[in-house]
Order: sequence, then C-alpha cells, then structure tokens
Amino acid sequence: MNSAIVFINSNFYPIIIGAALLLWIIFIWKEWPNKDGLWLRVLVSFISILSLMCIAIKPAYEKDISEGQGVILTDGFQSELLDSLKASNKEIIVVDYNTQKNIHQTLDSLKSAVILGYGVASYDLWQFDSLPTTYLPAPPQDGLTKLQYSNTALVGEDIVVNGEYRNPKTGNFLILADPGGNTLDSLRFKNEKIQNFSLKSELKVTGNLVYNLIEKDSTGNVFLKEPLPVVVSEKSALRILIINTYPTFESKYLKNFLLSRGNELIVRNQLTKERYKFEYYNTPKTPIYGFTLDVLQQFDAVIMDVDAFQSLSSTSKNSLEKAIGETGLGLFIQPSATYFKLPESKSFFKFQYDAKTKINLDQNSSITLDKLPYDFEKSSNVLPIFLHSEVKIGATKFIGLGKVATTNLADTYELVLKGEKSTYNKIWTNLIEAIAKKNLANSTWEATTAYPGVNEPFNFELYNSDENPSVFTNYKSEIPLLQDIHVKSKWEGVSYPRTTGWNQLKIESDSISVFNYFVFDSLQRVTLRNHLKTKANLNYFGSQKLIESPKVKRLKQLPLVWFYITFLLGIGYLWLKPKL
Amino acid sequence: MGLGKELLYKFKNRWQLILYAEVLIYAIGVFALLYGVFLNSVLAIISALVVGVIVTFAKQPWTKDINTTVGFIDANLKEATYSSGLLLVSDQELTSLSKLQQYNVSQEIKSKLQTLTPPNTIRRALLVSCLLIIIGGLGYKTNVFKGFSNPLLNAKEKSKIIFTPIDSVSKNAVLKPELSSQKITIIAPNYVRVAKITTENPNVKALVNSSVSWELSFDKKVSEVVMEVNGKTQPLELTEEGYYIKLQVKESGIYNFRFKDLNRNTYLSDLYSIEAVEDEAPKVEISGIPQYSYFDFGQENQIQFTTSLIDDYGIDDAYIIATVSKGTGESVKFREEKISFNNEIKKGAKQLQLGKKIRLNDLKMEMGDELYFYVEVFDQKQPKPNRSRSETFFAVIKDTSTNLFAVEGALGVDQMPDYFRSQRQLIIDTEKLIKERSKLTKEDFKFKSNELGFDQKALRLKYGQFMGDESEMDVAPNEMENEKDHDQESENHEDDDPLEKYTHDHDGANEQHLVPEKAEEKEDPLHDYIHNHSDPEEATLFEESLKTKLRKALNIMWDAELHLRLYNPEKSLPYQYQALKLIQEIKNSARIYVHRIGFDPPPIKEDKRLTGDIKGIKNYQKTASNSFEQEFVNIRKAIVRLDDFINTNGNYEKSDAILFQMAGNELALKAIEEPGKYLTTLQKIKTISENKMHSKLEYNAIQKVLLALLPETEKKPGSKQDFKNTINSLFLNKLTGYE
Repeated sequence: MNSAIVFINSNFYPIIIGAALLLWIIFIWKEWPNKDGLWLRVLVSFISILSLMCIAIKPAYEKDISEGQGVILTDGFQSELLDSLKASNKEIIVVDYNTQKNIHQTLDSLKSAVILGYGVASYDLWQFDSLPTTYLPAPPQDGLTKLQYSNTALVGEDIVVNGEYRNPKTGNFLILADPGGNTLDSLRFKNEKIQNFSLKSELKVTGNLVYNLIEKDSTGNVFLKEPLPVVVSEKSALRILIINTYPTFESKYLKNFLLSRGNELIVRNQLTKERYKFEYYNTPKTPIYGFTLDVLQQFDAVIMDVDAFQSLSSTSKNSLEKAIGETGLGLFIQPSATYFKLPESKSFFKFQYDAKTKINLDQNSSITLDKLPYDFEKSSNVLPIFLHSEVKIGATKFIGLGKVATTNLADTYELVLKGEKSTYNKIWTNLIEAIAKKNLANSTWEATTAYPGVNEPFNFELYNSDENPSVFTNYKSEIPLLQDIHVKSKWEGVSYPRTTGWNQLKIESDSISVFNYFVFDSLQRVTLRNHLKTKANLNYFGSQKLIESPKVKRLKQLPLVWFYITFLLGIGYLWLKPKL
Repeated sequence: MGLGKELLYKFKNRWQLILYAEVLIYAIGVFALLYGVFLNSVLAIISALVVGVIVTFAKQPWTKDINTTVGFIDANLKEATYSSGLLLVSDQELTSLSKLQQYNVSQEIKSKLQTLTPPNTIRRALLVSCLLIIIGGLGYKTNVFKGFSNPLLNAKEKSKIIFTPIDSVSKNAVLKPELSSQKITIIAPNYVRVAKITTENPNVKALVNSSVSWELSFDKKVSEVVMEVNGKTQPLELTEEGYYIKLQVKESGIYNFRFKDLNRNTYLSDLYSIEAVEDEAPKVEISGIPQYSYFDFGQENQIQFTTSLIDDYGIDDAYIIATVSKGTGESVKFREEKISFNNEIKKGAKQLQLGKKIRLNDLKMEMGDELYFYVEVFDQKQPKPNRSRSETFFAVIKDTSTNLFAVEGALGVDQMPDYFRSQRQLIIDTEKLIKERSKLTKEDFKFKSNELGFDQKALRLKYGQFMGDESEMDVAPNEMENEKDHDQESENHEDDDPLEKYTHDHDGANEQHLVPEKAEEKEDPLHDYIHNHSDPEEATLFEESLKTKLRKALNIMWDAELHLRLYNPEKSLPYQYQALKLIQEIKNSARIYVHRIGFDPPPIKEDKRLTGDIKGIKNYQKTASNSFEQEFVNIRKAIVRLDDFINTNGNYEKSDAILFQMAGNELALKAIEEPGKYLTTLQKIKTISENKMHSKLEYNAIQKVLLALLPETEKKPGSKQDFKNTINSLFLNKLTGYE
C-alpha cells in the first residue's frame, strides 16, 4: 500500500539540502570548541535542521484509496444519510450544491457522486453525464405539491386553480385573490393528509395580471403567497354569416346578441324565390348568393337553419364542406324537429330519442327551457358542448380543421323574454365559440421551463412559419434558436431572465407577437420546484443503488506539524542546554 | 329694629348665600367639564343651567327663612340659650324680663354668631367642581375626547376646502397660498321663492336649476384658478373679493378646485359633491265620491267632490279633465272638456283643498252616457312644470231604453224568436193590457195575461241560461202536468183551472218540444266540498255581485210571472219594473269602452294574387353597425396600468394622465351613488392623473377598490388564438378520415 516517499516541492530540493547542510556545518564549527556533550548536540541539531528542511520540501507518499467519491448536498438533505456515508468512507468529499454553484471543477475530480436532498437543478443534470451518480431523494416536502392553472386566458373566462396540498394545517384558509387583494374564492383545509383543491373566479381585466394563492390562518397570518401570473387577452370579434329560409324569433334574438357584442354579421333571409333580405352589420354590403371557397374563407362561422342547409346546391355544399375542412370554418345548424330524423350523412350527427322535452339550465332548476327530445350519440370525433359542468347544450363534430355544431335546445330566445339574459348570452357564447374559426396567429410560444428563475435558463418553444425568425429579450439581446428537425416551424431557445416578474420575448419581424412570461423569486414556488426537481433527478439518475467508485492511488502529504514540533523541541533543547 | 334682629337676618342671608354659591360652583364645574370635552359652549351652558336648577331644588335655599335660622341658632349656639327668637320680637311686646333676656342674648351672640357657620356642603361642591374642571381642562388640552364630538356641531372645521400641492416640491411651504375665505351661495330658482342661502360647506345640496356660486379668496396671489365639475374644467373669474364662479345645477356631480401659485406649483382641492334635488311632482287625491257613481235618468244627477293637492314648492294650476262618452259599440264617441274648480287656485300654494260640483246635465249628458274624469295638477317648476294626475272616476247615467236582448251574435239576421220579448216590451204590453181591460172580454183578458206570463217565463228562462239554470227548464212544466199531476210549476195555477180549456197551453207543449226530458240527476254527496267548474252555476262567469243581481232579477221575474198568471197585471207591473232595472244595471256594468285601434291592410290586388309573378319584388338590403365595449373600460385599463406601477416599476407616461382621468370619470358615476365607498379612491385617481405618484401600497389599495367594483364580464363569443401547426392539421385530417 505504502510506497516511496516523494517530495512535493521537489524543484528546489538541491538548494534546500545544500542550505541545510551548510547550516549544519556552520553549527558544528560554532559548537566545536565546547566538547561537553558535543555529539548529542550535533545529533539534535541534525534532527532540527532535517525537520526544517522537510517543512520546506513537503514530503509525501502514495496511497491506494477509494478516491473521488463525493456527496453533493442539495436542499432538504437528511443529515443522518450524510453521517452514514461519511462513516463508510472517511475520504468522502462533501460538496454543498447551494453555496458552490459552479460545481463543474469539483465534479471533474470525482469518480462517483451521491446526491442527497431534493436534487440538483434540471439544468445542471448534464454535468453528471460522465459521472456515476446515485440520487437519494429526500422525503416529499409538506405544502403545495401540485398547482395547475392556465396562464393564458381570454377575458370573461374563469381562472381555475387546481392543486394538491400535502399535510395542510387544519383550519387554515386557502384563498384565491385578485391582483388588488380582493378574495375571490377560498376553502378551508380539512384534516387530510393530502388536500386537493380547486378555486375559480372570472377574469375581468385584460392584460398581464398576477393573481395570488394565499394561505392564511384565521387570525390573518399569511403562510404562503404564491403568485399566479395570467396573461388575459381580449377576444377578437367574429365574422359570421347567417342564412335562414325565413325569419324566426330565434334568429332575430341571436342576431341581436351577436350584433350587440360587436361582431361582423351578414344575415340573409329568403323573401321569395331568388329574392332575399340582406342585413349587413359592421360590414360593407356584399350580397352572398351561392357559396364559394373565397366567399366562405372570409367568415369565422356560418349559421344556417336546416331548410337552408338542405336546399344548398351541390356546388355550394361542396364549397362549404371544403371551407370547413381546409380553412377551419365553423358551421352551426339551427335545428328543427325534422333535422333529428335526417340520416347522419346529412345531419353530421347521430341522434338518440330521449323523450325529454325540458332541460334544467341551472342546479336548482329555476331556469328551464324547451328541448327537442333527442340526445347526441357519442362518437370519437363528437364532443359535447356544455353550459357549465353539468348541462349539455349541444355537440360539435370535427371535420378536418373545422367544426360543425348544433344544439337540441328549442326557442332559447324565451330566456331573454324571461329576463334570463345572462344565461342566454352564455349559451350562445359557448355554442358559437365551439365552432368559431381559430384566430391563427403568426407565431405561438410555449414555455418548457415550469418555474423560471432569475439567472436561470428559461427554455421555450416557438412555432413560427418564418424562414429564420430572430427572437429578442426585453434587454434587446438576440437568442439563438434551434430548429426542430421534423417540424420546420418549431424552434427552441434558451433565455436567462435578469429580473423577477414579467419578462418579454419578441420576434423581430412580428411586433404583435410578444411572449410574456413570469420569472419567480427564489422564495416562490419552493415546494413545487423541489417536487419537480426530485422527479427530474429520479428520472435522470434512475436506480437508487449506491455506486462505489474505483480505488485510486493518490499522493498523501505527511502532516507538516510534526516536523514543526520536532524542530521546535530540538531548537529549544539547544538553546536551553548551555543555560542550565 | 334691634341689633340682634339684624344679626339674625345677616346670618340668614349668609346661609342662603352659601347655598346659592354651592349651586353656582356645581354649575361652573359642569360647564367646564362639558366645554372641555365637547368644545361646545351652547351645550355646556344649557347643561350647566339644568344642573344648576336641579341642585337649587335639591338644596332649596329659599326654605332657609328667619324661623329656620332661629331654630338653627338655638340648636347650635349655647349662648343663645334657646331665646334667639326673642330678638325678632319688637320691644313693645316684651316683658321687662324678656327685654333683659333679649338684650343678653343679643350681646352674647354678637360675637359668637361670627364663628357659627350655617350647615353646608360647599367644600364637597368645591371638590367635585375642581375635579370636573380638571377633567375638562385635560380634555381641552389633549383633545382626547375628539371622537365624542358631534360632527354636525363642528362642521365648520370640516367644511373648509382643503388644497394640497400636486408636486411634492413644496420646499418653501411657507409660500403655500392658503384659502382665506370661501363663500358658497345657493340661489334657488325664482318660482320656489326661497331666500338665497350662503354657506361655507362645500358639499352643496340644491334644487335642480338653482344657481350656485363660489367665491374663494386666497392670502397670497394665485393664478389659473379653475373648477373641475364632472370632468369639465371651468375657470374662475377674478373679482375684487376673490375668485368667483357661478353654475346652474342640472345634475348631481363631484367637483374640485385647482390653482397655481406664483412658483407655478399646482394645488388641487379635495373632491366635494353637488347634490341636485329634484322638484317633486304634486300629489292629488280626490275624496267624497265613489270611483263609480250611477244615476237614474231624471234623478238629480250631480257629483260633488273635494280634491286635496300637495306640492313641495307650490302649485301652479289644477283642473278637471272630463271625458263624456256617448253611444255604444262602434258608434261610441268621446268628447273631452276641461273644467275648472269652484274655488280659484292660489298660485304658489303648497297645499290646497278644492271643491267641485259637476252637473251631468250641464255636460249635455243623456241616458247611457258616461263621464270619466280626473284632476290634473301642475306645479311651478320651470321651464317645464311637473304634472301629475289623479285616478279616473266614473259617473254614468243609466240607460233603460236599450234593454234589447239579442241572440243574433255576429249574424246579419236577427233570429231571435218573437216570443222572446224584452222586459221593457213586456211592461209596455202589460200596461196596454191594463188600459184595455175594460174593452176586453174576461176570457180575452185572462188569455192575454197568461200569454204575457208565458213571455215573462221565456225571458226568465233565457236569462236563467246565463246562470246555468238549465234544470229549471226540466223542472218546468212537463208531462206531470199532462198527467194532471201536481207539480211545482203548476202550483201557480189552480189545479182544476176552469180556464184550462180556454187557454192555449204554451207551457207544457212548448217546453215539451223545446227540451227533451232529462233524468233527474242524482245528488252528488261531494257537491258541497268541491269547486265544480263543469257546473255553470258555480262557474266564475261573472263577478260575484253580478251573479247575485241576476239571481235577484230572476226571482223577481218569478213574481212578475206569478201575478200575470193570476190575471193580476197591475200587481205584476212593479215586479217587472224592478226586473228591468236590475237587468239594465247588469248590462251596464259589463260594458267597457275601448278606443278603436286597428290595422288597415292595403287592398289586395286580386289580379296579382297567386300568379307567382315576382317581377316587382327586389332584394332588400339593410346595414347597421354597433361596437361593443365592456363596462368601465377605462377602469379596466387603469387596473392593468396600476399593476405595472406596482410590479414592474412602470414609469408615468403622458397617456396615463388621460387614462386615469377617464377612469376617474367612470368611477365618479359610482361615487355619486356610493360616495362613502369610492370618494377617497376617486380622490387618489384624480391625483394620479395629475402626475402625483403614490406609494405601491396606495396603488394596491386603489387597484383593490377598482377590481372589486367591476361587474361580471358580459359574455361575448370570440375566436381563440391558435397556430397553424402542420402536425395538428395532419392529425385532424386523419381523424376525419378514419371516421
């Protein structure tokens, strides 16, 4: 095991040995006249000078050790685990991940590593690529462990915050608060190990807003305050074509509703053979007779009654189907009793007779409405349209890029007459939105980093059909993009945000498309980040079996302090002896 | 008067004086306390007086007269040897021994009386009073009781218009101009006849159309003094007294002032309210007559009633609008008349009692005509007076001449059988029969009388149908009569009527043909417990009173018929009149007049009908536009802007001034409704629009209020954002393909 002694400061040792020898000769020459105990003094002086020399040249020896095993301590590590690791390997190198951010050099010297705690950040995982690493995760943290909500929404939609809270304190409140701090929704923790929660409220304001999820006790002490950044955007108006064979109250009220919301509307009612009444709302006069792809492309949705749909010429029908499938146009069919008896090839839907002629539109059934006694048969590409979680008001079917929808409600305008205007508005908002053509943006963004932090990499994806888009941060620095090999319009990039709060990414060519993302403080999303980190680490390192590193020879320096003590004793003796 | 007596009186006066002093001390204490606490001298003085009176009555100093004094001295001063009473008696009345004693006593008490103090609690009074004064003084010094003070009583403090500099640069605060005086004059519109009011309270409450003027003077020279009312800016004129502006109050609102000092620093005042009070419409009430009055023809037909009018600022005019309707059905005509009251109307009176007597004849009303009238009142509001009207009252002259019974319905031909005579016809016939009695033979007379009896019965049965009296037809004459049996109906006749062979028996024969026999229905045991709609008698065809009236008429017809059948037409006649009157009433009460309205369709071109010719028909085109904005759009924008200020240290930009001003205007609408909730926020928004920055905490507070006031968003269908993703498109196309 032990081998020859080597000197660390070997470069200087001839000089040092020479100097030591000289020193010793001078000493002997000086002591020579006094013969009393001369040999003892000569010996002592030799030992002292030798010790002094050793301090200078640092002798060392080579040793076989299980070298290069490191333990990397991350947040939440268990000290018992660390102690047992230390006991098994005295030479184990302890690296504190939090204080030593740049662990690259340290890792290079290691031959194997054990990670304790919640794990290293996912952007640091690659550093362990060439290092056999074991991850021993910390037990899951108490607190917010799951949080899910949509961080982009349209005004008027609800913000729905779902999540999971581990070991909540019974009696504490979890509150959804708006940016001003008004409580919008809340719940009280029960005595449960894992509490699932769902809070919701309507988004009333357009813009980049930060709602908050707050945990308070009954006296108002805040235990947790998690920001919920939401980008709320305005709904853009639709361009809708309504074709009716004859005017009905249903169409009239629908028309009034759509008009009152500022949509562009062309309404065509048949007066008699080949004579029509055209109404143009928020749009110039452009009479529409037959359908062509060009005409239909201008619209986001077409609303037709059954008779009008049935009496379409074959060219118009083909154009309509093409427009639906290829441009994403939506078609809404205003049903009549005969519609439900049509075969699926003509009506798009399969119906089931359900004999129900009334429908309750709210929980306590105070609002009822007439309904045609049919229900929609389930199918792989047919989705029900809901008024809210319970009440089904129609169905939509995917046809290519577009959708066709209809309803089984009858005479919804009666709701307006009964004073239930808001219910009416909600029904038709949901029905029309189910089919309306999507507003195809030039570019869409997606964040792949869940909780961006300051000076941490923020990964994002950009879908843009440009040849070579260039993306800039709000500090005007360009970010290099990586194009996806299969999907040409998909680009990836990394940004390093400098401030907390809202940050922006912009495309140079498209001033409208700004990606707003929220950068969290290090004190925010702590439990969630740790939860995510643990997961990522477990994924990355896999098995939990401890990996031993191979034995390695390594120079071990002799402790210099012993030389120093020897020197001190020797010199002390030589100084004291003549005095006694 | 002796020396002793004088001493006694002195003592008595001293006693009383001490007691009064006690009262005074208490009063002063109370005054000091209350003044110190409430800083309100009126309240303090009144309370002190009340306490003074109470203590005075408790102490009753006036009871300490000379006799009490003598008693007290005798009891407490040994030297008086129980004879101080002698001092009061004149020398003449005393014996010499008494005189000696009197002299003795007077000498003794002369010195001693000085040491004797009347019984009192003046020390306690002083102590209590001192304590009260100390508390009051402390209160005055420290103002700790400020919370108790009545806000109304020191409204003067509050009412001062407060100006704050917008820019926080006021390094030389000494130079800040202060408002030295403010005067607000409210002049109500002329017609109200209210003296002008001068006040310092900047929260103005005034009648609509009042003119309000503000006069502000400053201790230093200022410039550009403007007033901002409901979002509009109006400059104040510089006069000798100060700055002056006059406005006419049209609607409630919020205002503030703004000025610049010589260093061009801008100062802004707090917001104050102008509350426009509406002149209320007058109230009218008619009393003294029922809503419906009926008059018989020939009866003295006049209606008399009193009207009480009340208005908040004075009545200008009042009159009766009377409408007379003549005729029935399609030929109904209306005539409107304006009738003034008997008494003259005192213009400007706040309360009036007016009487009126209307003679229906004066309105040229005839039988069957109806009068509808109501009272209309105007107040003196200018430019457009408030108008209000009373309920409509009805007066009807009953028409008895048109008691025609018709079954013709909508047919052009009157198919009423001729034996259905009207009640009036029956009366005429009966009267004729009575007149011709002498000329007729006995048999003829009886025959005719019986005939009339039958007609009466037919009429009764006809009316009975309205009541669902079908059963009466059944019960009516019948085969039993044919079988010569007793019968309810035939009881009216004598069984072995000797006239039977002379009379033509309409009853039996007719009815046998008219109505088939019906088996007598079993009595339903549940009858009394159910509301049976199938029974026409129970059916709510007419209102209750009408039904009883008709039933009454039918009963009377029974009597009329009875007497006719008994060949006593004279006796029958009064019953017939009664029946006629009732029938007339029933008919009239069911009559409703409606102004004719209708749709006159254009004439149909018969030659074009059903030809399928659409040559003249063209497409119809219509355009309209409408834009949609959520309510409080600027408040919504302001909320997001505030978020920038709070979270990303957004800097104030020029556009913010306009945004916050507009958001402020929107909030002002809310603030007028609920000033307590929104006024401070409005104030802050105002200052933001003036480029005065606040702390993040304050921004947050503003944002909180604004967010809380937003109503639920109006639902609006719109399109969602998406990206044309080739992979998605492929997937969706496949989805359709595999269907």
